Amino acid sequence: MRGRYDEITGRGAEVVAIGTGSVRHAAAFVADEHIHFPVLVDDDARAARAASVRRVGFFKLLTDRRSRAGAKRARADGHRIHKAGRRVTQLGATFVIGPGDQVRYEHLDDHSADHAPLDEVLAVLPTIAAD
Amino acid sequence: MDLRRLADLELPDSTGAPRRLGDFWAERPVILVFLRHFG
Repeated sequence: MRGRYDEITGRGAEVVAIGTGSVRHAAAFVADEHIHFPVLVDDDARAARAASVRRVGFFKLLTDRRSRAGAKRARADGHRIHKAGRRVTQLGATFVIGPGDQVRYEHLDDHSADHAPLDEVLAVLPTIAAD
Repeated sequence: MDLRRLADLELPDSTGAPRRLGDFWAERPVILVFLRHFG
């Protein structure tokens, strides 16, 4: 997402990330990773619940081969976790919302290494511009 | 997804300032990403 941020804003869209953890950890993430979009903190899971973001059992999180393989790839690519926050069993999700109150795209991660294909997400944006 | 409930939420940003979620997508599309962790 970060690598294509200029393309996203060039299409008239914005990126907003929501994570678990504290404001301090969000600030460190923004500074260390040179993030240019808003990063918000949802430490009490109000937003995750409203968005119906999935959770996974702790045992499955540790034993799912897909999750372990994803973690290995992430480490090999140099990614590191600043702070997991209080809800390590919460999975990720990606939505395209707006303009206005309309959900254009939804991907609820199925396991910890599952992510919305970025090309699929970006493909929604020209459709919005043409509406 | 309860979009109305989500839109009305205020969450702190990385500076601690409260931000109402619905304001982000009122005028333009937003890619909203829920992260498992920061980093």
